Formats: sequence, structure tokens, C-alpha cells
Amino acid sequence: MMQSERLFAQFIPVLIWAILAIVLVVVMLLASWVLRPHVLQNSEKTSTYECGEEPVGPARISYPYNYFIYTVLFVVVDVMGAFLWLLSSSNILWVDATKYTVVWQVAVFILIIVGGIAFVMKMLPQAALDGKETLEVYRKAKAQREQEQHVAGGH
Amino acid sequence: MQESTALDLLEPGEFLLIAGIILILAYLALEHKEIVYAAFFFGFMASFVAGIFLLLEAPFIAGMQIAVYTGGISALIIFAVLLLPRAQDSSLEEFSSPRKRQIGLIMATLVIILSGVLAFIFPWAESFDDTFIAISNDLNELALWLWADNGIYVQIIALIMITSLVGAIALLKMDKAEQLVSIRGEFGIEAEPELQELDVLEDEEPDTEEHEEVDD
Repeated sequence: MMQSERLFAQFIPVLIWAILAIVLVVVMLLASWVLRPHVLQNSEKTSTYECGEEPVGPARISYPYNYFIYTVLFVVVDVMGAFLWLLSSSNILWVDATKYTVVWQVAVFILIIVGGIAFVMKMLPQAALDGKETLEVYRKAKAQREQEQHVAGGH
Repeated sequence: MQESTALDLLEPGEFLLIAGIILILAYLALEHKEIVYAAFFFGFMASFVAGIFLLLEAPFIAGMQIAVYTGGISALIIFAVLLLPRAQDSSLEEFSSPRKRQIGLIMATLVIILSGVLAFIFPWAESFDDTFIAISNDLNELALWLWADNGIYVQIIALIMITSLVGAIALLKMDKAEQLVSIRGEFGIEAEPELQELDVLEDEEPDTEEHEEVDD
């Protein structure tokens, strides 16, 4: 009796669903392999589709670092969700004795994290390289160089 | 009585199965040639580690493992692969000399043996407080312990998360400063003609004007 109440045994339906998901993917791949016409594969067929243009260079390039912040944001929200999930899966709000401290803890926790996200949203335009800013710096540097050349007696 | 012994054998069997799958997936995550595949194998490995936590009757840690490692850290690793052009070729995995490879193998074996010996001689059963075992098994008890009694831990986690956000912004700002240096710095685009002879400079001028037209 004790053994059947193990947590691991309760997750057997999840395991069955996981196996079904894998089977579904395999069946779909096999079905598409069976159903599709098997024409001759050449370099035209296997090349990457880039809106009808001829692909230039490898498809794997290094992305700008600006996108990194979105992953960090995702991880932060993920961790926040996990801790709030723990709270939601308990009957803690009905326990009167601890009710109010928990409310304050949750409020402070969410305020800190949402404040961090707001900080990121505020700083993101300044942290990314802006085209206008680049052009401005470029022109300033160019003007400075021309002036220096002028002083030095160049053309 | 007969049934209970059969069920008793079930748990070590499950553990061995999950541990074996984890070891295979971890090896694939380390050694697979395609680094994106390796990142996905890491995600699968992390979700099987959640199975170990389920065997230990720790539902919160299992859920945390799935949410944070399979979800978050895998996405982070895949993004890191996308951001770094050098990480995508497998030249990073090659040892510079066979001697270094041997040293690495010896170190790895030493670590495995040491952790194995420690796992065998460590008094696992006596080292854990019974009350904490009861807390970790029950989501409700754990939520009470974490949110009501020890809320400071949750706030510390929130502050650590904030630190990661601020660090990411700082990284972006450093990267931006680095990119701007290439425009205005000593060895930047504008500085290049200065390093050359004056004769070359004359040819250079129409080039810069062209650049400006493109930028506009």
C-alpha cells in the first residue's frame, strides 16, 4: 500500500504522455517520408531558402548580444514563476495565522523582480547600439580628423 | 510479503534506469559534434534528473528542475551558441596535445573515484534532519516553511535575479562601448588612413564620402 503511493508512481501518466509525444513525432516523420515524392536531390534542392536569393555565407552567424537580455529576462521570470507555483500549490492563503506575512513577502518579492524588469526595459534602448548614435559618432570622428589634418598642413 | 519485496526491487531498478539514461545523455551533451544537438541533449538530461528528484519524493525540486534547467538554462545555452560564432565549430573540443588529453583523463578519473568514495563513506542516513525530510516531501509544508517562516530566502533569490539582470545590462553596455571604439578609437575605421602614407590618403577620400551616402 505504501509503495503504490510513491510520488514516482503518480507520475506514470506523465511518462505515458511523454512516450505518446515521442511516438507522434516519429509517426509524423515516417508518414511524411512515405507520402512525399522521392525526387532527385541536388544542390538547388538542398540549399537554404532565402526568399529566392542565392544564400551567401553560412546560415550560422553570431547574433548581436542585445538578444541575450531576453533570455536572462526569461530565466528570471521562470524562477519567479516556479516560486509562485510553490505558493499556489499550497493552502497557505487559508491559514489565517500566517496570511498577512505571506502577502507582504509575495508583494516584496514581485516588486523586486518587476522593478528589475522595468530597469532592464528602461536601460535597453541605451544599451543597444543605435544607428543614429553610430552615425553621429562617425561624423564627429571624421570632422575631428579632418580638422587635425588641416592643422597639420594636409589638404 | 512476496509482493512487497518485488516492489522494493522496483525502486532501485527505476533509479538505475534513470541514472543510466542521465549518464548517456550527459555524455552526448558533452561529446556531440553538433553543438546545438549537445544543448538539446543537456535539456533532456536535465528533465531526467527531475525523475531522480521524483524518486526522492521532492516534488518542488523536480518542478524547479524542469522549469529552470530544462526551460531556462537550456534556452540560455542555445542563445550562447547563437551569440558566439566560435562555439559553433567543434575545434574548441579538441585538445592541443595528446599529453593534455591524458592529463584531463587522469583528472576526470580522480574526480570520479573521489566522489564515488565520498558517496560510499558519507553517512547519508544520519546526516539529514527528519523534520526537513517531511518538509521537502510536502508542497504545502514547504510553501509554509519558505514563504511564511523563512521569507528572507525568497527575497535573496529575487535580489540574485536582479543582479543577473543588472549584469546583463552591464555586459551590453560594455559591448556597445567596444563597438563604438571601432568607430572613433585609435585603431578605428577613422584612424586607419593615418597609419598609411599620405599618397594613399588621397585615394581614401572618395571612399569615406561613399560611406556617408550609404549611411544617410
